[in-house]
Amino acid sequence: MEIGGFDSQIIQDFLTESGELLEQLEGDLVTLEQACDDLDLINTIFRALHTIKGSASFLALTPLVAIAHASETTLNAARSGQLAITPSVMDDLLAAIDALRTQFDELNKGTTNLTEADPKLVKRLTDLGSGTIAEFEDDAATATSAQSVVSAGGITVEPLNLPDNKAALLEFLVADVQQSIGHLRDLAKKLDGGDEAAFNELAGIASELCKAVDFFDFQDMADLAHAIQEAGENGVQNLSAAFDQFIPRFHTSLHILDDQAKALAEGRRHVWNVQTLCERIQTLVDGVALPEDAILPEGASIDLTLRVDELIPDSTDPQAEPAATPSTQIAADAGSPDEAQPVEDASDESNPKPASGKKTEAKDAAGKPVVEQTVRVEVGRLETLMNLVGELVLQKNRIGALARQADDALKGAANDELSEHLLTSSAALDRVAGDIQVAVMRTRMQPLDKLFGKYPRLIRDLAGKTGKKIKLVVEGGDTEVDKSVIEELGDPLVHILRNSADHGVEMPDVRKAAGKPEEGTIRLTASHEGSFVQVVIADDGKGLDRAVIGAKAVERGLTTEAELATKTDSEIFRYIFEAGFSTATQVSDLSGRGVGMDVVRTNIEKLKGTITIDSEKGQGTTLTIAIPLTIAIMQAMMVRVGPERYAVPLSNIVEIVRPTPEQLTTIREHPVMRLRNDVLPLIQANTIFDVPQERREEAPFAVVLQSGHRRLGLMVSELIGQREIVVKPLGDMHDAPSAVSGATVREDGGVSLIVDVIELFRIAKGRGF
Amino acid sequence: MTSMMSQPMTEGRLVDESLQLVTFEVASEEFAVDILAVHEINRMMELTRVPQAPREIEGVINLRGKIIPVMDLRKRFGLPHRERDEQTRIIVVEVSSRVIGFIVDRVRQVLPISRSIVEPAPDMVATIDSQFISGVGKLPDRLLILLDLDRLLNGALMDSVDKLADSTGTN
Repeated sequence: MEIGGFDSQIIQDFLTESGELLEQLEGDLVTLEQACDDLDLINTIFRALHTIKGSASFLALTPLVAIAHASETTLNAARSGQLAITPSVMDDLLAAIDALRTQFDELNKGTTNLTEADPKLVKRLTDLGSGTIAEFEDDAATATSAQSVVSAGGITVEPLNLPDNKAALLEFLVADVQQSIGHLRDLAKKLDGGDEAAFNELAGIASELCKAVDFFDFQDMADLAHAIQEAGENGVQNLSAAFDQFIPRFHTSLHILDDQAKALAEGRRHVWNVQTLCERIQTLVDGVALPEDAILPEGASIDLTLRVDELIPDSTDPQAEPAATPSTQIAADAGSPDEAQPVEDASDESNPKPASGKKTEAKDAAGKPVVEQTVRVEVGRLETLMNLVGELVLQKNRIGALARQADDALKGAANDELSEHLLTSSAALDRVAGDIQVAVMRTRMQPLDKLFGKYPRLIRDLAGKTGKKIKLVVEGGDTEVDKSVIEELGDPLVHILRNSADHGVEMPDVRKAAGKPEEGTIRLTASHEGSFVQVVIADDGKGLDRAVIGAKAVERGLTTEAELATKTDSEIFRYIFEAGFSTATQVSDLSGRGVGMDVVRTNIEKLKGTITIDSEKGQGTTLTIAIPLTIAIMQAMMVRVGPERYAVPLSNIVEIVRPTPEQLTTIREHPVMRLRNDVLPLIQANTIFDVPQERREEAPFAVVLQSGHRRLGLMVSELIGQREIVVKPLGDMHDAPSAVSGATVREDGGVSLIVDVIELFRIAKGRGF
Repeated sequence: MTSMMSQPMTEGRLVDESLQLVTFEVASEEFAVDILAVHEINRMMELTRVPQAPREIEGVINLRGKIIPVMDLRKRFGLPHRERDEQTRIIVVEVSSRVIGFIVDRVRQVLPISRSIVEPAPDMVATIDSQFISGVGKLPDRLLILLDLDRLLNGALMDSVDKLADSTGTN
């Protein structure tokens, strides 16, 4: 696949990187709505959009650039304080994100012709930001008057020849450059006013400028922009010391860039000889003294700077400093390292990295977070690695067993030293293999933020639709879980949150009448609890009604009035996880709770997790989900069924009993077992797993399994013991529904199948239980 | 390998090309598959029966951490069961990027033959349905039955192997 002359790999990289930014953007935008004046956040959002736009313009994805640019314009107005982020502005911004996402989806499908975003939206966004644009026009006007002073010579004017794909984006990019220049001018003003703290913002703004300038691939512009960026990243300390030498050059650089941007806008190209200027800025950044002939008098004008830095011919010499004699110049050079030394020392104290550090260093000078060092790896490779590690662990166990055998066999023999070494070595192998296993598992872990980031938008939209006021508080998004868990957890969480917003949180007037704050709160919290991750979704809505749910459960024949009285609230609330418990008519009775909650429960159980529910009428509902960190490894009870060994997930096992003949009976010809107050359907593992008749054995043990509030007994021949097993998928190689969900490799190298508990319950249900 | 084995072999057209075959016995017939399709040959190992699996699938094995389905060729050909012995082997092959094992009575040899001695399959070779056969190799002293692995695994069975392979990540 080729898109606009770029191969699919570049597009793919763009999608991956920008896709992540887009997700982040959405979450940040919703957060921004709550904290309109958070300038840092606006800047973060702005930068993310800007990066997307920059990459998109490199790929000549014009429709994408158009909408990104429009949103950026709006945000720019917001960040300069000219525009308040009202809900309607936010709606437009979110609509823009949706448009971007549509375009991303199209790219993903390999389409080149991206859908243009709604022109009305683009116009609205552009209009919202127009205040800012006007400001730049003012700036441009003053700059023009300044320019007339120096346009006499030194620059070469060339016609502008851009390839079509770039030409289409020229307008945007020029606007970008001018916008960045505008910001830099503001910064320069602050610096002029003696506010040296403004230096800290330099790197951030300069890097935006660089991105815009890099697009054109014009050497002089790029050199200049990068020189400024370098100054912002690495030169803050040194530049404070050489303030009077840097500031005029900074103004001059902006002047040149502005001139070039304006020329570009008019379809011309102004080439400036910026080499000397860039070199001198770099010298200042490095904390080295300038040669004497390059030293500017205090308050030097742009015109003078242009002359001194050889940007225009030095026809009217007298204004410049008298040229240094060769001898003094040498003296200055020789002295420079010494002079520079104290400056560098000073910078070392406040900042651990050398002030003359190179560009590759993290940009913490500008107060930005240090970028994490990451490598993208295909999931397939990690899976291969996991497989190999599983095999390694297996072989390690075998060697351990063999070493112990050898130790026993060689006890007292002449060479028992050998077996001792073998034992020591196998113990070391054991540790290393264990560590590798943990390390590999960790590579598959991802923060839950990947999911949680999407939910503020979900809640915002739901609140908008229902007219409720809802605040979503997210905590613990940095909790890491296995990638597969993230994938499986998404849907259930959406379901639960939707339920909480839809049916849990009341309308503002109802809440007010009940003496609660008008704005409802849904709290989404994640935390590690041992080898489990716990996700709690709590709302302060109207809660569940025990009486109503209990009555419904009796009506549906799930329980009896007598039993109901003995049950705890939690046990009764569990009925909402029953399939079909909340049909349309019941929704109103049950205040709607429970729509699709059986799906939630099934998904959580698939992850070998549990879900519990607590609620207090009028106070709210709390759902607690506990899921193993990974579903690749789980705790299981190994059981024997005739000659075969099966693994039963421990998370589903309630207890294991050996029923007496009195406990066993049948209902409608199906075997059941009485266990205390319950009657459990029994499933013969021999039958369900088709064990050949001649190899069947008695199965006296009942493994009591639970799914939702249902229980059943699986009859097996023998209990072998609890094991930690590595789950390997088996897929569906059966015609009939089968109660096997996967396979695992045992310590002895053989394969055991894993019992699919959910399927067992389905089978039991098919029999009328 | 697919192209070589499943194309009708026209005598004379590909005379110069030779084939490297692995030959094995099932019920006293000698069969052959292209060596390029063969991953490895193992002694009989412990099989784990999979409930409700297709009849021909004897079970699954652990092949260095991967779970691989194993098919009994005798069952596939509808031949009577034979007790496994020291000679029994599992040939692991890759067919259309799916990995599967075959149980055979014994493995004989690796044999280079010229394509020119391969003839189209007759309607019936011994007791084997000709649909599984891509050709017959006429050696001076005996006949080789060249198996069409793709067709051997076709139909509903292939689907289930496919799913199994997908899920075990052998693709």
